[in-house]
Amino acid sequence: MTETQPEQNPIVAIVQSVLETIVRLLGGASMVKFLIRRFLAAIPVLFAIMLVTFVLTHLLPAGPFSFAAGNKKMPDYLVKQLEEKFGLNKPVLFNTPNDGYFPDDGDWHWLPHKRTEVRTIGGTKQGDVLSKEVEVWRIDFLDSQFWGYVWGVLHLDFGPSLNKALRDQNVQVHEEIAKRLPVSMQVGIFSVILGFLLGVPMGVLAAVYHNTFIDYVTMFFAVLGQATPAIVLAPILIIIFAVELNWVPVADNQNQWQQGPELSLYYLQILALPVITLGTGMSAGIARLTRASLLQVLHEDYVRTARAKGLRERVVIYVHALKNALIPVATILGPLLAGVLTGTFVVELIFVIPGLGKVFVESVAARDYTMIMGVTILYSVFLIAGNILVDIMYTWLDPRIRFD
Amino acid sequence: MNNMPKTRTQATGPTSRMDGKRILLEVKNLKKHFPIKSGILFQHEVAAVKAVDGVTFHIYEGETLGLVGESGCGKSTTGRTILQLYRPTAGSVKFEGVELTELKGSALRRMRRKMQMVFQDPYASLNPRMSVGRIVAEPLVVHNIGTKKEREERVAELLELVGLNPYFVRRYPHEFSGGQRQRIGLARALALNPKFIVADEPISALDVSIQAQVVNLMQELQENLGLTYLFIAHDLSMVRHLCDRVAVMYLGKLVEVAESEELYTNPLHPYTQALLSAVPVPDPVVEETRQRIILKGDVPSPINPPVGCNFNTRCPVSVDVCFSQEPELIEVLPEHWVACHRVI
Amino acid sequence: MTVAEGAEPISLSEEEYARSSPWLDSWRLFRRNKASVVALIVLAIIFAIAITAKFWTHVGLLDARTGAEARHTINPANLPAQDPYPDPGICARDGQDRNPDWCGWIGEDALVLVQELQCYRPEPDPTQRQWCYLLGGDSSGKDWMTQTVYGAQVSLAVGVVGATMSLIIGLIYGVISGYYGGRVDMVMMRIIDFLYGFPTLVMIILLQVFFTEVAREYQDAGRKGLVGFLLNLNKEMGGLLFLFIALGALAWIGMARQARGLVLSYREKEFVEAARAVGATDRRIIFVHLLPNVLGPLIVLETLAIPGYIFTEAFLSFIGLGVQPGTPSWGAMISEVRTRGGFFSNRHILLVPSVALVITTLAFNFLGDGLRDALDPRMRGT
Repeated sequence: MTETQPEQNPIVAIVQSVLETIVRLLGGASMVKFLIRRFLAAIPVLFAIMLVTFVLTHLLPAGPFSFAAGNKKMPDYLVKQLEEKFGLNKPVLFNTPNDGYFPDDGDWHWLPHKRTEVRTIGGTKQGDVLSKEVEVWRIDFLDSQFWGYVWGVLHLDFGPSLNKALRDQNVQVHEEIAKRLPVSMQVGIFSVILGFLLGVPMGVLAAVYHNTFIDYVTMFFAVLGQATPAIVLAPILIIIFAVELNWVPVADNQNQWQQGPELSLYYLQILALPVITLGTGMSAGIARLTRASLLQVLHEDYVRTARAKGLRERVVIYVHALKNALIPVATILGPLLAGVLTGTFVVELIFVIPGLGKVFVESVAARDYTMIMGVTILYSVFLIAGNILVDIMYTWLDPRIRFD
Repeated sequence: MNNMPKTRTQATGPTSRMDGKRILLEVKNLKKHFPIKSGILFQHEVAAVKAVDGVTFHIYEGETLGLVGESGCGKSTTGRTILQLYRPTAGSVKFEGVELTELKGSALRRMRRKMQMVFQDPYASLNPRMSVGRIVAEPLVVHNIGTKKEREERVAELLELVGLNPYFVRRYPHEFSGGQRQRIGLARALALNPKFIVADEPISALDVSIQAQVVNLMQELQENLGLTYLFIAHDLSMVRHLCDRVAVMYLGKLVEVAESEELYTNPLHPYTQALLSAVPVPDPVVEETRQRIILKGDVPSPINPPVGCNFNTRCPVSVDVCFSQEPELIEVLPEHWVACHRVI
Repeated sequence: MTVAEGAEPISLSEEEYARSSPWLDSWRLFRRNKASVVALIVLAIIFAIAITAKFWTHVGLLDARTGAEARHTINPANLPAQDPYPDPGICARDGQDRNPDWCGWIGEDALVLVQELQCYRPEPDPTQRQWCYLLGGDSSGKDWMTQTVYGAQVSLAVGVVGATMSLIIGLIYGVISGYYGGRVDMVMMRIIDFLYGFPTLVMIILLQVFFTEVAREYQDAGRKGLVGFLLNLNKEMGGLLFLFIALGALAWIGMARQARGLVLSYREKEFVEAARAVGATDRRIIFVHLLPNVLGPLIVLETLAIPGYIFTEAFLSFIGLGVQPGTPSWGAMISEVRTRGGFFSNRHILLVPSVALVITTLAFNFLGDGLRDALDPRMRGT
């Protein structure tokens, strides 16, 4: 190429080589094609999730403005005002001429058309409203709550929260999520780390001492760990360590969760119980997987060869076998990370952690439509990304797998 | 309810087998292409594996036709396509003058009574969750033949016929050895008293000592019941022993068809010659002088077979015409058909 | 005919032969796994107790008042006259005159000293009659043992119904998709891929909120027709019906995938081809050849999935979105202890539903392991 076109732009060449490196790192052209396919396939999935969630939330009896603080019903005119402000007066899915909604009869068009609209852009202290006329393209048929929301999401605008406490401060959904997501992530990521730190050694121990007392005890605890849900483990941990021994506080009362990780005793104290609750559950699965995988590898020919060479058992297990045995274990990381968010749900409620799970449950109760949508979309994105991650990890870790 | 088929005993002796020369099965230009699909959301066909690509031959009543070739050349697909287990992409299969490719539903089901199949893998060809009795009786149940008691009697008769103790009916396949399983498979194939049996490498998964037993059993059954076999194999010495005529297949096409002795003593196609040169001869003097013809290269992909003669990539004697024109299967000697430009 | 000489001897005794079939073999393999045999027995006991709960109530071992009814104000002094329910409690040594009739069957020495037990006293008034609960009770006067037994009904029902529903839906979906293949399979698998992106727990929560809210809205409206019938049925079942629907709507997805994979692998087996060669219909091939082979591994998967369904119900009830308030459920019991500050006092009653939950799910896990050894030949030895 460079020979035939000697004056090729050096920047183009650099971009090209960078792209090639990325493609190579990702695992070749077939992998890139596979990834593109998966991402494209994710778009209709996300759309369907949005549609289903949107319809489901709007089918719930009552709306965000029928719940007022102190169970006092809001006056009708106020509700109407709020609905207009947040666009809830629009039809849910499609705006047909019969809906009686904007624009007025006769001015409704099937085709996209240009229209002059008056937009408020501010006001003065004297009470004058500053507005200007703008020309906009509009599709009357799609001037509904759902398509308005979709249009917003395409612009990464997830709308304002409709929850009383938040809407009064004009909090946007993405701001609230940005505040809560790191809290959930702290719990989730530390739990995954703990799960691997506990699970892998347990699995190795059980496999090395296969069919001995150690194996049985380890595996019994692994099954026990899998059979103990968070709603059982968490209260017991609270009673033992928070109430009886008083080593840790029952719940964070210093707003530490939102300040983020730091190396202090208090942070470790509030982190300990939620992470142990989630981490032990994960470690149980990881331990069983590690054991099964290592046992299989220990019967492979190359391990037998290593033994036949006269290598010490420890070298055989830790150098030759373990590396390959951990491949299937690593692939569990994808579903684990995808499940981390929904996994923290329970723990957040029990330990009163101000994370996403808590927000979600609260927003369902408050009919905070936009917040429900935002959190659900986030969960789905994580889930889909986790699933794709699993496939990528497979190819990275096992060169025999290729996507065609 | 249909009547229970009785095991026929052959009126004409095995010596008269070739005299009548009544054609039982006629295959013309048979093709079977398997589509390869691809697509982002919804798949579409992008290419096809040409497993069988224009095969023409016939089988006389009462004879055994051997079909040989390397693995992947389309022999098994040919057998299955003849029986309409795969519906052919093109071509015609006539059995006793009836066009099978056009049959559907119950008409096809009725024809299936006359032609059966014996499979290669004795472990995969018997349902592990069915007893031997149910497996052998299945054809009778499917075609609604006889009462329960009659079926039981027939199963016992069939088991005895293939050399198994009728007492085995309640046992399950996993309790039997490979050779015994193959006998069960034969009993199932014989249940409807068929005229024609496609044997898809029935002995290649068995121990050598058992192979002879099964082959002998098949020969005896042929003599006693007047069966016609299409015997698919890659073991050339066994084919010579068992078959009246042999067809050699390469990359979805037939390259040579001849009577067994003729083919082994006078192979005409370079591929047949190469194949036969690989067979060891049990005579040390001959074996000493045996010249192996080693073919260069690999079998080309059946997705993209070469233009012209499909053997041209590996042929030691190929000339220009082989790369442009496809050779036709021509009868160069009586009952000896070859598809090669260099032979004529 | 001389063909019989080829027969090889079979190395099984007559007795073994007489009793050998795939299912019997599976049972033999299952029996070898001691842990799963114990699990099976434990589960049988739990099932037996849960099913016979009404009987124990009748006998008087359990409080007949489950759920919201138990939240009545107890006036123990004149209770027998007012309360139509049989006495909850135990056979006490002190105050035998107040023991239920069946205590007469028990020898004097076997009677229990009431003081040794956890007793519920509505008010610290010694003249009032004591209520004794073997496993204690919560502050609203519910017998914890009754709650646990009836909670077992809920958990087991959710586990069994969830597993059965997802097995049936998944099996039908997977068999159709896997067996017929082609365009049908493609569309069906796209739908599955689609549903895989759905965050299950979030969807179940939304569905449950929807169901409970709608049920509440129409509770007094006296709806007729199918909706009314379903709402009534759900109320009768303590909210379980909608829980089943919400679980079943999402749980089958994984099972359909597995079923399709299994059908695909068996569809290409030669015995299926042999059946087709003798002229078997699609229906016969599916029901006689595919299903019996596919069912085993799927039952294993479902057994191992049951703890998940039980956890989901417990969690939903814990956050108040599971069974209707008042219906006994282990998750609701744990939640009750928490909301009433039980973590700080009277905390041992927390152990009752917790232990019940862990034992049940543990048993299902071990049972699944044993079934895998017995029914899924691919997994043997792992």
